[in-house]
Amino acid sequence: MRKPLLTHEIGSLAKPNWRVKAITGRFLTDKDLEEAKRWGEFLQVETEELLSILSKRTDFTPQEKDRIVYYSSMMAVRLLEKAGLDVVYDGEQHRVEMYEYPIKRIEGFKFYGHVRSFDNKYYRKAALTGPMKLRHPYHVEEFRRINSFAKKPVKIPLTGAYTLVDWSFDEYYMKDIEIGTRRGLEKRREARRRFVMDMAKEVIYPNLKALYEEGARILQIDEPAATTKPAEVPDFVRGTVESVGDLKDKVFFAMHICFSDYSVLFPHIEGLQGVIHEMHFEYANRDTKEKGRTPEKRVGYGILKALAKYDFIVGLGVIDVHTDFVEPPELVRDRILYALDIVKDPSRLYVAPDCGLRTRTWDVAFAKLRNMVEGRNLALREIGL
Amino acid sequence: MKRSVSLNGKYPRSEALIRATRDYDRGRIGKEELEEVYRKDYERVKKLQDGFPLRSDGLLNWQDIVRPFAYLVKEAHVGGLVRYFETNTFYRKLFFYDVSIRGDMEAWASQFFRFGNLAILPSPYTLHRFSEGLSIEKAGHLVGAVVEYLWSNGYDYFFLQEPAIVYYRDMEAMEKLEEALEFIAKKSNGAIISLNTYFADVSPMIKHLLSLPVSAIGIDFTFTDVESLVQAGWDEDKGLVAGIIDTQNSLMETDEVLAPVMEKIEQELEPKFFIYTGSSDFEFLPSSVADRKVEILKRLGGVK
Repeated sequence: MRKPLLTHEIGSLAKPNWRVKAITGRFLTDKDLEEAKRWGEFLQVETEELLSILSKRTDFTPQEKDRIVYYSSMMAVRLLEKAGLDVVYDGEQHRVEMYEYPIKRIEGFKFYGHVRSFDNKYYRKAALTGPMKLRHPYHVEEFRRINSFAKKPVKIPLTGAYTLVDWSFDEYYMKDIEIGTRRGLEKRREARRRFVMDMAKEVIYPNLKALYEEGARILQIDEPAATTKPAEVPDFVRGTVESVGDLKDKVFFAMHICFSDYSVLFPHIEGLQGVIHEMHFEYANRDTKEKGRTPEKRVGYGILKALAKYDFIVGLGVIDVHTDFVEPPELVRDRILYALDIVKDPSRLYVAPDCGLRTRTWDVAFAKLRNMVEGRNLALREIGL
Repeated sequence: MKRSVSLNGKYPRSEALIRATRDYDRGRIGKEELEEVYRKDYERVKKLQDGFPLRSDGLLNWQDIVRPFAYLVKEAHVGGLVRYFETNTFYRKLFFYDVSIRGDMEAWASQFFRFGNLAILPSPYTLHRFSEGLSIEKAGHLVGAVVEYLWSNGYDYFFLQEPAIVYYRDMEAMEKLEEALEFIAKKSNGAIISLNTYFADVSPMIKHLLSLPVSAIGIDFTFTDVESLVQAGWDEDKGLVAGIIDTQNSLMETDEVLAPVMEKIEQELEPKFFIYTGSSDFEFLPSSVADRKVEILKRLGGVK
């Protein structure tokens, strides 16, 4: 997968209201049905069956719910295709979110309740209470379905071993370890390493392998927690190497990390060369909105100099996912060309949003992605490709 | 009070309050309904501490450890999210423009300190570090003013939450912190003030911490080896707020796990007094788990 300035997405898109309400048992309004019709027409998706199901408004059967998810998945894929992306996905239309969904499919975990993330935002947190065992690979059906209707190559994202561990409690490896003693502190560190490595071996690798065997050739490992504990970055690296295993030469692996202090990854990520092919970070969120290719205008891209020394393809976040501001194509172009000055080789630079666009409406997400592709095209023209 | 127990930091909201805060944000319930759920949750936290010599309100309505200070001063604004040390939680950075205190301390305090005799507040260095436009000295003045008010309104114990100074090992800031703490101590002559550190090994800084004008130092024993403190030598006039209940993990501490550290604290470290508590905020645990950990504390403190 080596195309100069290839464009792709990063995981999530918003779920349409008609999909959310149907799955959670809330009554659908006329507006919800009109929304489904509008997007169907715009994306040229035949919606006769969907609208017929949605017209029930409530009390959908499991089969009907599955068809509703099918249509939201297909529409999301078509949205990305229509925006002009080279690699597509369905924006997690099949999933709840990136932690609870996988953890529920692994034996050994128990959910206790909510903890706060910030303000009035919370997430359900689970503890590992016994040996981990993958119930069954949890993204294969999703890949099979998306691949059946996608017109572009499909990339499947998957939450990585370190993040699943970092966001969980540990009652298994930590059991009976003393507190406040040197021996206890060392055992705690060792327990943490074992947790990461077993997660990689018992859960992530089998998932990746199953996807490979099903035909997936582009996989994205999401590790938003990778830099949370700087001292554990080597564990994150070892966990990733274990997760990928013998698939490193068979599959194109992208790694996505965002809203982090990337500096703590260096030099440890050297160990991911040859394992991870594309290293994608968020940049636009830290950048100015002004056009231009000077370091002052492109303040968000400072870490590129450190990253470019390694042999990864640089996954470049050029779209801020936390604002409705639609980046003009010229701004996207300048961000790309600034990065290209550092990375040099356009086949080592891929273009994407900073992160998943789930907090944006489909209208805004589409406008942003369309401009991203247009900006990429402007950049290609400028470098004569 | 040789041995005691207490809560530490923010206490988790119940699942009912979590639902209510979400519903309020989405416009499904009004302010009064939300306040009623808060009232029940404060009752829950109060009941949980029956028999505790030190009782805190759990800071249930604090959005983070510094947020109320944005509403205490004449001009400040609440900024973007910043990761709270090495956790999967975030606080909002505060931007201070005019740090003179807004008129009514009573109204402010009644909103953020609902009951109890233990007030939990950010320490000046952490408040400074989580803000823009607020020096350690000015942070000390703000915290001092709050401590003075609460001290004169029945609070006897103050936990000043100071994870930042040990996490960043900022030796250069120690002098300024000392001055700020002196100011606070003068505002509450006779109160028990503990400087609670967490999220880092304190042993490299322990001598400096022990020299600070506070009654006790709080230590997170999920990061610090008690033997290193024994080796460094403790100040017999200083108390210890011993974070021996892991608030970052749901695993329940057994006697076998706690015995070695407690034995060393009580027989070798010999602080003036010791208060067993959580290693950091209990809020990192779901409420059902935190409640069970408080039961362990009760057992340690001999609370009936």
